[in-house]
Amino acid sequence: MRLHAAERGHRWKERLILGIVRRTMGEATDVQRVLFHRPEFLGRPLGMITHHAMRLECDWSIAERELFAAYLSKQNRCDFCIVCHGEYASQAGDRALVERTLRDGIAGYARMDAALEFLTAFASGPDAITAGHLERLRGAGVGDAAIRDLAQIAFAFSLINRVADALEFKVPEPALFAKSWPRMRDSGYRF
Amino acid sequence: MNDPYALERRALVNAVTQGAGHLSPEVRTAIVDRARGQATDGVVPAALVGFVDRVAEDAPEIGDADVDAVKAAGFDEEAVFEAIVAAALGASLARLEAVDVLLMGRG
Repeated sequence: MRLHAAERGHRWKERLILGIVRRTMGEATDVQRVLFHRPEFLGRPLGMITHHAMRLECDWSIAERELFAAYLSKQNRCDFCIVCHGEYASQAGDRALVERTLRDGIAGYARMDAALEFLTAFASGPDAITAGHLERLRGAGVGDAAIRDLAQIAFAFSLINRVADALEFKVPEPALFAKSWPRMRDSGYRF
Repeated sequence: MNDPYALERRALVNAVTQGAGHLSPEVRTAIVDRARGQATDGVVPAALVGFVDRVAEDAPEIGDADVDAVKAAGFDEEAVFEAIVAAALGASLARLEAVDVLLMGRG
C-alpha cells in the first residue's frame, strides 16, 4: 500500500482489532487497514451505507448484490474488489454465472442484464446515466426502491474502488475471501 | 419517494469534509465539489489539483510518483489520504446525484 499512515498508522484499539483479524484469518487485507485507519473519517460511515445496501432486506439477493459490486469494480478496473466480491458472489450464488457475467458482461436474465448496463453507465460517469437505463430496469420488473438500492451499491463501490487503486491495495488470493465469506455473509459491512 | 439512504449519505459527507483532519474542511469540501464537477474557485491547492482529478477520473493509472509528488509539495500522508477519499467521494456522489435526478423526474 502506498501510504504508510494507512498501512501502519492505526490507533491502539484498531491495532488490536487488526491483530485479531490477522490471527483468525492469516492476514488483514488492505481494505481492512484503510477502513480501520481513523474509522470515524471513512470506514464507519461508509460501512453503514454499504451494509444497508448490501445486506438489509431488498428485492436483490445477496448473491446479486455481491455480483453488482464485482461487476462495477470490473468496469472501474479495481483488481482488489473484483477478486473480493467476485469470490463473495460465487460463495453466495452460482460460480459459473459469476464467471460468465464478469467475462462477457451478460448474465442471461433480464433484470440482471439491465442492472449490468446501468452499472456500466455509472462507471463511465454521471452524463452516461440516462432515463433509458432506468426504463430498462423498470421494464424488467425492477421497482424504484430496488433501483435506489442498486445505485447505492454502485456509489459505495465507486468510492472504495478509487481509494483501493489510488493506494494500490495488494490483491490477496481468492481463498482468503472464501474464508472470510461466512463472517461477511452473517455480519456484513458494518463495524 | 423518500430516500432511505439520505441520512447515512449526509453522515458520510459530513465525516469526510467536516471531521478532524489535516486538510481544512474548506479544502476537503472543495475537493469533493471539484470531483462532482462544480467550480471551486481555486480553493483546492494547486499542488493537489492534478492528483485529485486523477483519483476521480482515472484512479487505476495513479503511480507511486503521483503520490510522491504531492508529498514533496508539503502534504503529509494523512492529508494525502484525506484528498484521495474526498475526490473518490465527489466522483461517486456526482453519479449518484445523476440517478437521483432521474428518479425524481419520473413525476
